[in-house]
Amino acid sequence: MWDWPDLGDGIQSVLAPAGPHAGWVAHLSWLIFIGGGLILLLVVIMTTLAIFAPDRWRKGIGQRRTVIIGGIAFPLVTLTAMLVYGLGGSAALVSSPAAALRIEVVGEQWWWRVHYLDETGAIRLVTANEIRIPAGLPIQFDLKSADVIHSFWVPSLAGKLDMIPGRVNSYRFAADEAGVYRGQCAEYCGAQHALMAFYVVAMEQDEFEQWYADQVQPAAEPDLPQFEAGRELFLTNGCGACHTVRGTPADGVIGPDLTHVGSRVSLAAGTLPNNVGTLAGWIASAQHLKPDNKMPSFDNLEGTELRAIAGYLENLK
Amino acid sequence: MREQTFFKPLLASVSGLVIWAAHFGIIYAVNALNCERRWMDQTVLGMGLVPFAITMATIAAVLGLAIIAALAFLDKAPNLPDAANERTSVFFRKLTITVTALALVAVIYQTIPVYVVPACA
Amino acid sequence: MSEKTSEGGIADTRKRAPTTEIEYPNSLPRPEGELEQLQKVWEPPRGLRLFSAVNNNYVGVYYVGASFLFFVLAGILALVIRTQLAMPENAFIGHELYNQLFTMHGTMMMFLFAVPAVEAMGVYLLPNMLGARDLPFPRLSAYAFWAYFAGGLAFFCSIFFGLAPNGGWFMYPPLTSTEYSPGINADFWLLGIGFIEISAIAGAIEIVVGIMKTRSPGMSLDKLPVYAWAMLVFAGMIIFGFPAIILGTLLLELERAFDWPFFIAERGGDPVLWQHLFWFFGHPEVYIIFLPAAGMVSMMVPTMAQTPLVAYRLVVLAILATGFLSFGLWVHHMYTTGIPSLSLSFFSAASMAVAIPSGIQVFAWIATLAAGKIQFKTPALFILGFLFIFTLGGLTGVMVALVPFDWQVHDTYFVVAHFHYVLIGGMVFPLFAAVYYWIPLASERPLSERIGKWVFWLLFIGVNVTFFTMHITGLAGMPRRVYTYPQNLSWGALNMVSTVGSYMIAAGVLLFLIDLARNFRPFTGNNAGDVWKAGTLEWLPSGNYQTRSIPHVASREPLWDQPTLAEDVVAGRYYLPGAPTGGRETIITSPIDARPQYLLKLPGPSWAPFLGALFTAAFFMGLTIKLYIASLACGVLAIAMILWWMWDTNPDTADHPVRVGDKLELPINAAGPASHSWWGTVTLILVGATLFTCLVFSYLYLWLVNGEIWLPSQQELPTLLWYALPAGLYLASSAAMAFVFRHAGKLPGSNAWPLRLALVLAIPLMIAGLGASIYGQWQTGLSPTQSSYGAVVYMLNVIQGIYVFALVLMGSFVLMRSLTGRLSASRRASVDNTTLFWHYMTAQGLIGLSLAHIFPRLVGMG
Repeated sequence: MWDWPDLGDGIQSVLAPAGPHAGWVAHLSWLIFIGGGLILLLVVIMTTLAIFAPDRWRKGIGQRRTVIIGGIAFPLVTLTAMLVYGLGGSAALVSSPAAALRIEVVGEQWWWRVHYLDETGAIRLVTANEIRIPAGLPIQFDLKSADVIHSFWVPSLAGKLDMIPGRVNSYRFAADEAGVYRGQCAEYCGAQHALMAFYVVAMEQDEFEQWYADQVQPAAEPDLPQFEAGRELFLTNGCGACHTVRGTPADGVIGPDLTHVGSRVSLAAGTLPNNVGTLAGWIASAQHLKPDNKMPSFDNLEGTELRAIAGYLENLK
Repeated sequence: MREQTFFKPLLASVSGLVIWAAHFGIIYAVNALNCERRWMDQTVLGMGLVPFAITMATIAAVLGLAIIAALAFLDKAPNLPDAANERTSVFFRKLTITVTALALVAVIYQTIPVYVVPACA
Repeated sequence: MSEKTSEGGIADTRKRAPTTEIEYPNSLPRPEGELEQLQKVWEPPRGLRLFSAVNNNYVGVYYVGASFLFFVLAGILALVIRTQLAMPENAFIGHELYNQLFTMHGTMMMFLFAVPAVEAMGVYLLPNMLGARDLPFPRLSAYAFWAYFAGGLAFFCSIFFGLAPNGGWFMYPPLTSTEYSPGINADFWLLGIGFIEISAIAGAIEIVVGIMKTRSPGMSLDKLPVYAWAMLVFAGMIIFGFPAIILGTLLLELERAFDWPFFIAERGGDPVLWQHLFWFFGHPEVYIIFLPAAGMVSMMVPTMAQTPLVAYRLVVLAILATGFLSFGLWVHHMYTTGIPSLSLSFFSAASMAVAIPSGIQVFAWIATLAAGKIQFKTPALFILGFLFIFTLGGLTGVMVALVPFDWQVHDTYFVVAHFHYVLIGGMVFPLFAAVYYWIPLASERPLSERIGKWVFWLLFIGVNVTFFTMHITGLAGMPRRVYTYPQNLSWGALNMVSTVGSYMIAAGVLLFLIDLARNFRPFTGNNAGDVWKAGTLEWLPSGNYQTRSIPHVASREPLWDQPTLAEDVVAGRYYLPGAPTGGRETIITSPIDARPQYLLKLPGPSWAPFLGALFTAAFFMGLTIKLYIASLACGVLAIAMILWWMWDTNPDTADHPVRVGDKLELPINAAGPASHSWWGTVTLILVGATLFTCLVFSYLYLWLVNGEIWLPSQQELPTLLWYALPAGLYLASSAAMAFVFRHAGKLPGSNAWPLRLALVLAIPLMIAGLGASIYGQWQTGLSPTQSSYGAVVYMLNVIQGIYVFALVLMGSFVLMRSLTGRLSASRRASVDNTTLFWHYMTAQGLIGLSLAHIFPRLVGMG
């Protein structure tokens, strides 16, 4: 029931880069792994020679000049090269081209509030735990925290940047191609730090625009009676105190915005795949599945009621 | 018992690293001030004030290191009376010179980024 | 002493240098009863009184043993962690326990194992290696040990009550603030660790003074064993590194207890300030652990290869340079916090520079192995294992120093792999080598070579299986500190491999414990002795008094260069062959060239350090669990114990000089800079000054990030009268103390009452200065809870207040000594040290006042 859809391998891997930022670092990584491997090999060979080589060789090694060549001159050359190369990378990565889109992400214990901003910085669209971006365009991420320190990280696309209370940290990166990438909180942030993930879905530009246009719309009216009943139950059970579903009286801001929750890949910040079953399971036992999170377990609801609410939510595409 | 005179060789031998530490502190503070307060967003002689200030700090540090090394080279460390102490004195002079050389490398390493990396991005 | 052959023996393959004629300081035969008297005064305590032992041979072994106990306990926690992570979505333990486990594992390994273990080895080895009879402040090391042991045990036990800290070993606020961690778990960390650090500082002061002042005559610094160089720098780094974290814990505890918003962004604080303070300590900490281990390797490699260390001076250079450069790396841990990239690059550059000294040491060891001929004893295996693991860890260290690479791997299992390689390679392997190597000094039997090899291979393979895999796990995207991970990211197999490896490590440690149980026999009065044919002084035949006579050292490996040394030392031909004052004593020598200066009378067994430490631990634990009255009572008792032991220091030097050699007489005391206690005080002032400097940094930092609240328009400043008044009081107090200092030189010849009167004046003047400084801020309505500005301004006074409290105790102590006739021109250490600290306090007070009154006016104008 809780199987994940097949999203492909390496959706969260430094070594499977899918954007220029991560690509540059992956390139650097291979370079330093090979270089480091060679240096390790050199030390092993030197040590072996120092121990087992014929006396004549060992006499040559057992001198101060070995220390000067191996311990000073050689590191000086390699380290200087690495320093300059690494600095060049830093310089290139921080001065990437102007952003096509600004997205503000707020880390909260233990989920992600996502705001799409316009040019003036005003919030145009609120969503949660999933960031859709147009592929091929640099996106600016403005990172904030609502409580403790979190760290925003999508390994396949870029390195991480912390979300620190009282500060806004910004950086830009892009996805080369359409695809689904997984991100996860990288700074320990309390009880459920392990279950604070999200998805970045890169889309072709026209698809993205269509999606964006859909998302800014309020939730669609239920088209089936059981969804109608689900909405009723959603509202009467007080879900709206914490959640917003635009177009309904539900306007809570404590938890994720659910206006289009059915369109997302995952539930509860990457804790569960998103379908009717997991939705119902989450509503009934949120405290069991992700203890200490702010959502209470609605274990007082009947099975039919759960299915109705879950059906309603799942239908909010 | 004049103990203080005996500090001299030990302090002389680490003074290169003290200069490195001072240089490090200064350039870090300069850039922090610049990025938080934009105090140094002007230019001098065609360079930004930060690169200029850091270049100046580096020149001062290199001069300081050169003086220490020269003093050690010219044997200004205390010449202690007997032969055993002569060895100690030579040890410290050589130590001072090598420490200074390493400190020079570290100071230059500290300076390279200024010309490569944008200050506050 | 007859040569012992044993399983652990080594063949002597050295080339011999021609020997030169030696002029012995003492002639033979030695008088009847001299040796017996020496043995009698150094007689170790027995039975229950073992708790009162202060001698380094005892305290050192307790200390190493306790740190190893915490290593095993923290290791067991790691096994539970690895078991939980063996499979994805495992339900072995819940998040609550898991988060406590990884916090405790890290905290204990760093604070209760690594630092104490290397410090403990120093306490045990240094006097042996330097040819001293004991460390200069034996009761201080006993106190430091018991405080650490009692506090550490109490800290560990918190996990059985679910009260263990759960904020990660670096305790980042605001997660650890009252708002997000309301329980007392975080307080356990802050108070427990804060005071274990104080005991580390006590040990460091002891080590600095021990190395600088208690070496064998002739052991000038250029002949100092490399290990002692490493320990000197180690102690210096503790002195300059630990105050930052002590200040950090104080600030966070004040925030938690009294709502002073140092780290709360809404009120002008900044959570990143904690990270600066923590890592300013935390990065040097890694080298604090590594340097002593590297120093031990530099002692063992020459013995294992039977040849002197190649490039001694370069290795000394490397140690000194590491000590300094490692303070330029702290932001290395904060690359992802959004600090400007140029600032990050400075730290990246320093990280490159610090790799050079490590390279020097690695190649010096390789060259030494080539110059001699290695013999594959257990210590040699551990050293080779260390070379491999540490080099790999060092290389990944250079990788994570590259900013863009670190943005990816920071806080992932790659970093977990990296620092385990560095710490296990850089510290645990050398420590195992050291235990196998030096245990013949402490034990009647060496450890088993056969078991030792099994221990080595289990650990070596286990460590690589566990941690090499983690590099890949991290690159595959797994963050650290997660109690579970999903099935669909294919991290399961990698984690299973790591878990299997961790059980191999556990098997190795278990086997080592068995070896210890079978062969480790300490405190029997006999030891296995020089089984390795080593060159340095610790291998001289010794008893609890260390060596019968204290040798004159003429080279770096005296036992190799003077073949009859052991014989002559035992015969009593060298310095101080007996106990001429009838008590424990050691020779104090000058810091650079080790000329004998005076004879230091050392204390014997005493209950004061043991009880004082227990009360200190109880004081801090009482604060943590909010039993304030009991805690206060324990605090008072702890101070009483310390005063008790201070009371009989600085004996009367009216005694005649004492003969330690045929032609050498030494006084039994010294005043001013020659005195070991003067050195102790100066070192303590350095600790205090560093802590205060960190506070000044915090003040300026908060101004930098939230400067608006500094502008006078926002905050009414006290008039300059409130600057001048406390400053005047401090200066007047110092003037009175200067009079005390001068007048002490005229005693006992002249009347002591002017001195006492001046003291009685100096103390209230200092207190009044502090009071005026606080009142001046208070009367403007400034509140410490309203903004970080108020908090940090009052904090300047809090630190001043804590020091003034110590100062008042010291002043009263001097007064008591004067009233009981224990103060005179020749017996004035208490006055000298108190005056020194007094003037420092005045200077610190003036700086604090200037910061609080002048700085806001300066920036307000800008």
